[in-house]
Amino acid sequence: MAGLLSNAISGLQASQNALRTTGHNISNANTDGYSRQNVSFGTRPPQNIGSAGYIGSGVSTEAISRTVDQFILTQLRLDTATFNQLDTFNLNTGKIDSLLANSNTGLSGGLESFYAALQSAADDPSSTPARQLVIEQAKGLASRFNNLYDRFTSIENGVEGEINTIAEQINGLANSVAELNKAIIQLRGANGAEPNDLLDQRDEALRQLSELVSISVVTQDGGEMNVYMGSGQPLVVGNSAAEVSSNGQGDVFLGSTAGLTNVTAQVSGGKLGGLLKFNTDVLQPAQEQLGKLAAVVSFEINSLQAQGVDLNGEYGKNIFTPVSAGALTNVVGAGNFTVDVTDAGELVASDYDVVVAGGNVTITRLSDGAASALVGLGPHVVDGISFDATGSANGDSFRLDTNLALNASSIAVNQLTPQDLALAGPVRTEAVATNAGSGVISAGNVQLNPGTPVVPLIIDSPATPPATYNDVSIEFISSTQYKFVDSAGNDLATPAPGPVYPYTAGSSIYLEAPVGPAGTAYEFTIQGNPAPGDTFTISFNQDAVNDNRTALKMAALDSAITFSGGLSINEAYGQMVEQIGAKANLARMNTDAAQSVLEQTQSLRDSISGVNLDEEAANLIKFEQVYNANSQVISIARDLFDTLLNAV
Amino acid sequence: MRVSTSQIYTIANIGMRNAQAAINNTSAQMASGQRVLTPADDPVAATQILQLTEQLSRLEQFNKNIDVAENKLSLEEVALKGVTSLVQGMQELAVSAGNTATLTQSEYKIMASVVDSRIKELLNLQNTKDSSGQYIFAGYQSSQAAYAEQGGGVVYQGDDGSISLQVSESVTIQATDPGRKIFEGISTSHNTFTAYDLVADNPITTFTVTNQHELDQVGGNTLYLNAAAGVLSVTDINGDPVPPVPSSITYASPTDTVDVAGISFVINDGDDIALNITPEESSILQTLTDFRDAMLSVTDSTESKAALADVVAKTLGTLDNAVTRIGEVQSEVGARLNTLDSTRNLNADSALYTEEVLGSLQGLDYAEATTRLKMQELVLSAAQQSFSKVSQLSLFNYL
Repeated sequence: MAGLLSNAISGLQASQNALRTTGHNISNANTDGYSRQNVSFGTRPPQNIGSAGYIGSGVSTEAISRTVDQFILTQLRLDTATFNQLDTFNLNTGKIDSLLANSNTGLSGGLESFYAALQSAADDPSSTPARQLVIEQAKGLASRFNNLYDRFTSIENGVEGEINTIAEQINGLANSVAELNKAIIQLRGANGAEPNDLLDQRDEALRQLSELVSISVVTQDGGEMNVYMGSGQPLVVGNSAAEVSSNGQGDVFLGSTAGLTNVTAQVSGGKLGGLLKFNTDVLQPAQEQLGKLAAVVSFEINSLQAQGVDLNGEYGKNIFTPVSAGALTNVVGAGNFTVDVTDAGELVASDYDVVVAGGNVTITRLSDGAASALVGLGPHVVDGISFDATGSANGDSFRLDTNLALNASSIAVNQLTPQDLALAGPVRTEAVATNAGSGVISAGNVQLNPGTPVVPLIIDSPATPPATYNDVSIEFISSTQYKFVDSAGNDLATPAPGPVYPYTAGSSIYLEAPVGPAGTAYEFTIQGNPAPGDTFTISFNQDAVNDNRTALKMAALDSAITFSGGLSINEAYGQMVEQIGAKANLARMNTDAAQSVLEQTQSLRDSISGVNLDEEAANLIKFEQVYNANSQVISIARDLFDTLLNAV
Repeated sequence: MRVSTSQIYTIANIGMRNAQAAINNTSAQMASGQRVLTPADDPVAATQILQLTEQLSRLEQFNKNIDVAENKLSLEEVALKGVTSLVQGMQELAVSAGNTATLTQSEYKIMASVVDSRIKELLNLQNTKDSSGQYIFAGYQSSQAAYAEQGGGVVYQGDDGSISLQVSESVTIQATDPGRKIFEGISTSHNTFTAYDLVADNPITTFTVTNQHELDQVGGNTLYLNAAAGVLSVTDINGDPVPPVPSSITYASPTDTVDVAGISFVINDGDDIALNITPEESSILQTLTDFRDAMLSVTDSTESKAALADVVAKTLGTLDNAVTRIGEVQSEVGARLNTLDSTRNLNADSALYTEEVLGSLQGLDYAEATTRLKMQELVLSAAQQSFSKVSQLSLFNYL
């Protein structure tokens, strides 16, 4: 009877444990990271009752364990990190993407209006309102560049702030993992049983951590978990956590007693990985591309202005602030060194190291380490920048910090009056009225580096333009040869092959231009059959209010090839939009894919570890019945006892 | 498969979230009428859209340029028409002025005053201004009058410049003509010459015309004069004789004066000279001025009348050439206006095509979008209904 009672009591206890665990499951049905627990029972050691053998002595609660699959948890962390990286990348790329595509914020609207204003000015070059409009639209274009730059900068600042916040969140989670490691060791050490709820909490902390950064987890023999970031940088070892920090410039550091280590390149995955990837893959290239666009627009327009003539009869002034090649610092020595932009379309987003040795110069592009060893002190042109070391000594070295992106911020329109706009060409040609032959001279054109020998002939001294620019004449000394004559009628003594040049109908004649970069030439053609003595004059284009040659050239810039790689300004902008769009598109597709993978894994985890309330309700009934049955056994035991007492 | 309670909610959440996102996207498309909302939707199409939109605005600008060019050319056409009818009127007057046998000095005075008023009218036409106050026949220097008083006469003070406008991607149209090209350099019935020293490579200015009639007999040609050993050979560029000029003339060295084609000059051994004989050129204005002056100065004497007859003949010849010249420019202007017309049509075609492509790239197919929206609504309401059913199922309801 005592055995019967004790069996029943063990059953009562066991089913109470089971009911309590079921209750625990029900109450935690919505707890994040909670794994359902179940109770396993075992028989108590039997009692020997002699020759009949052993008789059962009831049930005991063997263990309360949680239902988890470590493999799926690892998978879940991986998928969480992947999804969050892509999602963060996608979110931020989308900001830039829609910024560029919007006709109110993007560049294309500003470029269109600017070119339209130039076309209108070309239609009526004498019109002051049309000229004023060009200046206003140039200001509009410059402020579009500035606004985009500011928006990019504020996105950049936002990203940096977010990196800071994430670093703090990582630290918080890493600390709680370390604390949990400690607590788990202590509790397990006390009785060897698994502290299920703490294990769940630690798994959940790790899952949250993998939202922020990709981690790998190694379980030690004692049950503690070591956490590594990126490619093996230890974040949590045992019960101590390293500290993650950022410098506010997009770099991430991992701190330990040994000091700070820059782990920016090693960290991947999670929101942090997504932000870093966005920084390097989208934001920086976009900023540099925008800066280069600003540099090309201002460089090309200013170059054409310098070759044109304004309403004051002077060579045109810069419309935009000139493009800077960057900041130059002396690394070794105090030599004098100059840099200048010669072709903005060739600029590369990189800094340069320049070393002077043995009268020669070595220029190293730091972005890819490409070194050019150049003979002499220069000026040498590398990547659209002319480096001149003539003022420096052997052993000197310099660093050029180009900061290409900054051009989008520094582009601005100079103080100009409508008269300062050069819309006319610099030269005017005329056939002298008494010419006997049928020769006709073209209007004249400015060309850079024509590649054919340029007659080194100057329309007088460029010292005080334009008043001293006198006429130059081409005088035919026979029907097949010509010479150059100055305005006083004297032959111009010119080096070989002059002073007499052979005439070929329709072939270009080049004169060295007194303006623009070295190699700028005026180009003319003479057609027909000039007679001996026929003369064509070339003069400075004074008072040319109705000449639009330079305006047409400026208006044609939108489709002219000005970028390295054979692109026009519009195409370069289109390419920029397309590249960012393609990245955003890919990021969006990958995010969708990663999301469904994550949802599947989450679903798999839930399906194994999640609480099903119906199941728990059934269990409640099951264990309640066991409890009731055991109670009945006690009641039977009492009846038996009563029967016995009454019998006595 | 085992399903946990939270999964039931998660699945319903995902389903409804996706359905709502799809509806949101479709309604944003329908609200804007655009298929591509951000470049990420279709990066390739987005770039094309940028470029096509830019092309459309260029075409629009080209059409504006065509309007401007058309205005400029029409204005020129009107002015040229005026000049033509003026010149034709003067031709008629010159024909009647040729009647020197019957007209008297006082009648010529009256005719001269008529010519004088037409000269003023011509000057006005040649100094035509456009709507922005620019002289259309002055070349580049359009802020000053094309023709102005200078040193007692009226001269052209513009240049050879002209303005060209871009009217399509590949076509630029010259929208003005310099006055020099139209009104100046009109051949008269007389010849003139220039001489060039082929040894010293310098122009010669000492030669004089002694016999204009003889000079007029030599058509526009360059005579090469080579003096050696008392014989001056006169040939063309190929070394052939140029009749009626004798191919060799003897002279007494060293400084004899010889006559070639009515031009007299001093010759030396070793001289190598190019003599360019070209039609003498005048302007319409100068021709009319000469005509007027001749009629003003005529007397009733026979010699004076004969001199006037010469001027009248020359005037008629020059005016004839002027009408031809203006006719040439007018047909050029007409051809340009035709080109503008056809370019405008081409631009319209290409705008139409561009818009079509643009429409197919970015335009939303509303029929498709509406169907899609209906389907998405169905999906959402199905998700909502199934959630509300499933969420009510619980064993606890029966305990």
